[in-house]
Amino acid sequence: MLSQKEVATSKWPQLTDVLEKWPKPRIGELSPSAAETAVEIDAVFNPQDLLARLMGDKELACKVLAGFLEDAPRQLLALRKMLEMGDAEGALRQAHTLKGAAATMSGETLRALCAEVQEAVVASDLNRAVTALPRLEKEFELFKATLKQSGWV
Amino acid sequence: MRALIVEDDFTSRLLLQSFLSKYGECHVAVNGKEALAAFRAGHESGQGYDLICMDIMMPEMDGQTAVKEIRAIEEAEGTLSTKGVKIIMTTALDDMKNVIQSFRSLCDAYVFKPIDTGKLLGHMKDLHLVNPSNSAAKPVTVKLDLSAY
Repeated sequence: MLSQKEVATSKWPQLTDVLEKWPKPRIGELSPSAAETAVEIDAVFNPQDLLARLMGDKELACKVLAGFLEDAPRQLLALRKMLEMGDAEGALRQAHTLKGAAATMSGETLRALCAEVQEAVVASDLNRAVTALPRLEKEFELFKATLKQSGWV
Repeated sequence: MRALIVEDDFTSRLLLQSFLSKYGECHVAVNGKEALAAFRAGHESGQGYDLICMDIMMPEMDGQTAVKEIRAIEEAEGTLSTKGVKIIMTTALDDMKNVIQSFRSLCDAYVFKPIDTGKLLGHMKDLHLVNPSNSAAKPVTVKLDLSAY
């Protein structure tokens, strides 16, 4: 019978597999001008990226996008309240959660703004985090409008 | 397959639940503490989970702690993690420290967010949770040819 230590060692191949598949930057593979254009077009919402990650399942994509649009305002409000109350731990977790959701929805600018808030909280600069909030809220509205205009929701 | 999704974010939870429902019964927990309670309840009722998708950064109890606790429960019963519930970490934490810590806590696979359902399915196949030839689980009727016997 294997000990837990031996079992742990047996899992190292899976760890190696994870490290081999470590996410690599894709934009860098493009020429600088093409990369800039791609970034501008896809930054608000990148449907190709979303569908590629969901094995082309558009029905699932629409369902999750609709869920995100419904839930994100609650998360933004919670983040604002935590920052205003000086709850750094809560704000950090909330910004992290929202960042993950934005990334799941292929909203790159939204994700980047959440990361900016998160970094400010990590640096104990809550004022900077609060200052970034209006841009984050505006970006969410743009994200929502883009989805509506393009018929995704 | 019975799956437990442990995720504090509604959107990621919705995605995982919608996707995994194609392959079996799914339950959800919103933090490590709830996950532990669900795991214990399933275990005690004889309807344990086959798969747990575990986020890491969550309120109340984080995913790393929950995995350690789950493996400790299994070990106390004499069940090694290779025979225990399959645990796939599903997290945006892509730093080496968290990855190594998760494998030390005996997770079975690590999937980075944003979730890629194809990669998740690949891990599920590797862990023998779904049929390797099926891209989506559907009820399958197998007709056995016993004429040679």
